[in-house]
Amino acid sequence: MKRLVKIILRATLITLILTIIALVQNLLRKDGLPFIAKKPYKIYTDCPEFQHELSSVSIDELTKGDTVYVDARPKSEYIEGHIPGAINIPYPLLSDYPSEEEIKPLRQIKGKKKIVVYGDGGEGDLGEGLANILKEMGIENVIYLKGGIQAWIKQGKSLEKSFKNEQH
Amino acid sequence: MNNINRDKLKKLGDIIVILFRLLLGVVFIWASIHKILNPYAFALNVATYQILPLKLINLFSIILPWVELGTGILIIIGLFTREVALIIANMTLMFIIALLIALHKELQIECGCFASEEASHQIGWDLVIRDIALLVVSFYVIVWGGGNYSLDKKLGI
Repeated sequence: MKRLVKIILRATLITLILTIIALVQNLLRKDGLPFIAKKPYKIYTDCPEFQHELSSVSIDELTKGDTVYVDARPKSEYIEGHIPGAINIPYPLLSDYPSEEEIKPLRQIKGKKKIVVYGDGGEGDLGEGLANILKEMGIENVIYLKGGIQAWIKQGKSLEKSFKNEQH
Repeated sequence: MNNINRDKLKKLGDIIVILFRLLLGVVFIWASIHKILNPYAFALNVATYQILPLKLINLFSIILPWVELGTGILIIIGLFTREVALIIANMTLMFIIALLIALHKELQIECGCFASEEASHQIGWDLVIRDIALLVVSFYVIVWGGGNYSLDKKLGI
């Protein structure tokens, strides 16, 4: 019994000495940690695909004014009818990103204009997908419209038609 | 006859304890190096287990690797072998409890033991079993002591 107590006491002493070594080396090294963390650790990593947060806007929250609409649907659907003034940047189904040429109008936007991307409003909405991609490409102030074009139509708002060769 | 058998057993036990000391030493030294070189990465790993309060995470992350390194070296050279094996058993028990809590919470996190790309495990029962094996090994060393081939023996500790 006496022997066991001796072993435990010695073990405690050894741990204590190693603790002191650890604390001293931490003080001496440049990349030492503060003894008490100031901020909580961010233990979950972001989704690897998109390292940003994307906000959405509902149809009721849309404000008139400094807004640029981007239609993420295929060109054929865009021609049939789109939000007045919207630019068509079809969601890139065959590549990872739209071409620089396609997003040039967005790059030229200055100031605090909001870019509202919308799709068809169905499952796996193209609008949300494209908004993510645009953000990834460094376009700022991008949000997407919840419910897509369907929400717009439901509100009884007007659509604009384009002719096949017309470019916005 | 009985004495000869006893001598043989003693020799066998001494050989086993050397192997076990080497095993524990290598495992703990190896595990400590990455943590010592990357204190922040290790602290993040500790935080991920969500067991320690924030105030203790850094202190724990600073101290633990050095205890691992120190005990790893001491157990190989066989200095204060029983004491060091007791510390190792304590740490291993702590790891097992942490792993069980993490498994209970179903945390899918990288095990903080060997954080290099190849050696990183997902937390799982295989790690619990490995740690239980280490615990058994360290108990053997606590009971047997350093054996004939240790500094303890040479110094008469």
